[in-house]
Amino acid sequence: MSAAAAVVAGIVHVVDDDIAFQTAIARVLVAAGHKPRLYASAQEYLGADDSEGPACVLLDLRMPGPSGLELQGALARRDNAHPVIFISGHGDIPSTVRAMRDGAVDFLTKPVPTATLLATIGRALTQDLQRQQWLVRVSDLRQRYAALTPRERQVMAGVIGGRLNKQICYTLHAAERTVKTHRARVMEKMQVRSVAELVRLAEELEAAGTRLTAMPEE
Amino acid sequence: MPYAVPCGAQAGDAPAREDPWRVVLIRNWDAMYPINVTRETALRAALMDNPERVVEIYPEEIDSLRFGEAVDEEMVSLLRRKYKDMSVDLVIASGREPLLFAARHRAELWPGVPIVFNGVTEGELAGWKRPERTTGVTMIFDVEGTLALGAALVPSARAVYFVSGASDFDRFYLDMATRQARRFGRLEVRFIAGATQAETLARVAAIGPDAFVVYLTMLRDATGQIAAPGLGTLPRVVSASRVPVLASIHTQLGRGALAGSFARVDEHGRIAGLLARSVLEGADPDAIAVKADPQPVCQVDWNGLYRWAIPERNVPKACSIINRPPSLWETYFWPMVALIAIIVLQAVLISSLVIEIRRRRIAEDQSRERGAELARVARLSTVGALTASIAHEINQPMGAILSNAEAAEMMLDQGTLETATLREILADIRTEDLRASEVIQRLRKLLGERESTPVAMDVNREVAEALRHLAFDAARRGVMLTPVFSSEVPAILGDPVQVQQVIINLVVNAMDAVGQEPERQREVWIETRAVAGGAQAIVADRGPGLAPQDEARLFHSNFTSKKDGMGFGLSIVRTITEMHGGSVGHEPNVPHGSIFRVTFPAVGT
Repeated sequence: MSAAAAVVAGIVHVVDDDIAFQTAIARVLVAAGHKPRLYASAQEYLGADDSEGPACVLLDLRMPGPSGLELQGALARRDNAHPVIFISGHGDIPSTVRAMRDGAVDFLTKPVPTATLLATIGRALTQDLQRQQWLVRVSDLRQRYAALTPRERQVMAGVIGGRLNKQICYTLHAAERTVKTHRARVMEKMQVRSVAELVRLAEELEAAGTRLTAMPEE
Repeated sequence: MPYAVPCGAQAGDAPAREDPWRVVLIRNWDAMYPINVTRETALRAALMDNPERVVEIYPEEIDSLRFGEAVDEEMVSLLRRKYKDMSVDLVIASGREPLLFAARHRAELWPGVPIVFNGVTEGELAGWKRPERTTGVTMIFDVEGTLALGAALVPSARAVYFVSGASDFDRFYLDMATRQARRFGRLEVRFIAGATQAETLARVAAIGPDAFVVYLTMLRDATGQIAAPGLGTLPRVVSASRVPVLASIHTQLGRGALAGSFARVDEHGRIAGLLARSVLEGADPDAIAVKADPQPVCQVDWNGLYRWAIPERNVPKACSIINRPPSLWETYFWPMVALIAIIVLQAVLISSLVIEIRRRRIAEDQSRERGAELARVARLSTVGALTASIAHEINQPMGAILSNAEAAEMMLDQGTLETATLREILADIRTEDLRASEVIQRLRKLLGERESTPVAMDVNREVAEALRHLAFDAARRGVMLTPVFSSEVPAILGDPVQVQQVIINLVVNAMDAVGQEPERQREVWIETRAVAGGAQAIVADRGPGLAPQDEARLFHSNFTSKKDGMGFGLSIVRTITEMHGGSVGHEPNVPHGSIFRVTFPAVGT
């Protein structure tokens, strides 16, 4: 196999109670340019620091203690969870379905050809990289939005709702001039030059789970 | 009076004797010729069978062979003297010459007395006019029938040899036979006639194959010697002849001749006797037509068939076979019945034994087949129970081997493979390979096809071995297996692998039962202990337990509470246990869960 260095190199957390298998996988991962971290059990992994990225988790389905599926559940509750790849000596259909439904990148069966393994890891790392980049942007947008005053947020809600300044000042019982000033501050703080751009940012924020202030009822 | 008589009975007082029926019986030739003896015996028997009156017979003889009519005069004078003052009721003439004599001299000897004749050959009276008060029966000489019979018995025959003597009667008879043979027509007729006895025998002995002899009569040979009764020529002709010798006269059969068609002489005598009787009783002889009686019959002597090697199928259906040796049946009826009964009893006994043996063998085969079938199902069931475990145990080392090999390849491609690393990798590959083959060997012992032979075994050891199969699966399921072995457990007799399969099925069931429980409660207890008369293995869990309605169907095949279960496990457990003479029971655990108890009898109980 021509082991081209991974397109996306990253950290691979290998959670498997079988030391021989861990070792073998680790060799493959190192040769492919990844950084393997080995854990013998789910608890061990949950207790470890894995804030770095990009990374993914290579998880055995059945292990002593909490099973792979249980660990996946615990990870899903975390904010900053890395993508999970299941790998198992014997995958029954119900476990596979459950794992995939809960967001696993893939479900591999031992013995797994290295090409398949590395391709899957590549996808997982790319996914993790995108997720991290997206997280960075979302936190940036949240900071921008946090910088707005309550009044400015109301004006922003009016602007992205497609209302004219006159309609906004009528609803907010403010002078049109004041509304114009707020609107300019919103565009400046949100770092946008057009209303269209502002609308897109607002959608991104909402998609990331941020609740935007609405216009008061008339 | 020369002797005393009972009182009241005086000799002179004897009641007047009723006149008997006086019958003069005139014989021909020597009275001791068999034909004469046979005929007259039957005639007298019929005549004197419970008659109305006493029948008194006055025998007279005419030796026509030697004297012809030469002594007629003296004979008549003697008879006149004999019967002068006597009333004769009937004259019976046996033969042609006696009949002619009686008819000729009746007027002077027994005037008006009726004549009943017999023993006259049909045709011998040609041209003769029946006198009044005369009747009788003639004898049929069926040479033609005898020829037909000979042709049937000797199908290859093309010629017939007539053996005959030199007397007038011999010549008359030969003449009649020749006429009948001409009428029959199918055989060439040759003659050995009128010769001396020695010459006759020599010529008979010279007869070639594809022929047979019909012995007619030989009352006198060429030397003039008259055959004595009972010492006739027939037996000599028979012993001289290489071809079958047939007879034309009833009484010749039984003296060596093969067969013949003829009127029965005794029957002829009986008919004559009856006829005489009816005439005595008042029948009008003139009203009774002379006829030939009886009709000829066909008879074959079994000894002749044997002597000339003639198959019995050649004998025409109408013929009767005489002198057939009595069959074993006729001779030894009761001994045969007893023998057959014994043979039948023996046969019944033997066949019932054979059937019993076969049944037993079939039963043994079936039981062996059932055993093999059970072993197969038990194997399948165990495979089913261990599927996940097997896959893990094999795929784990396989996965490691594959990854190691491919890692080495990648390093080789990148030029980063160091000797020390390669050595490590190869060592790991070898270790994993051995691990995999160990698993396979262990599984083969548990699941491979093999002959099941009962041996004495230690239950603790087999339970421990079963748990070894399950350790990996249990660890991965997060189930704790807790064995509690008693050192008091007695040895049991059986198939160790099947006992392991029982434990595996029960423990896998228990592990399935606790699968959904929180981790702390995922525990299965396996205990061995000695019980009265045996060893017991207990498998207990704290799973949800059984619904009460399921308990009754628990050990039936196809019962399952699992989504993907086949329902064989517990049925197999029970079948195997019962085949080992043991039992399996279930009871609920406290506060919930199941307890299975498998009991095997100890060796020697």
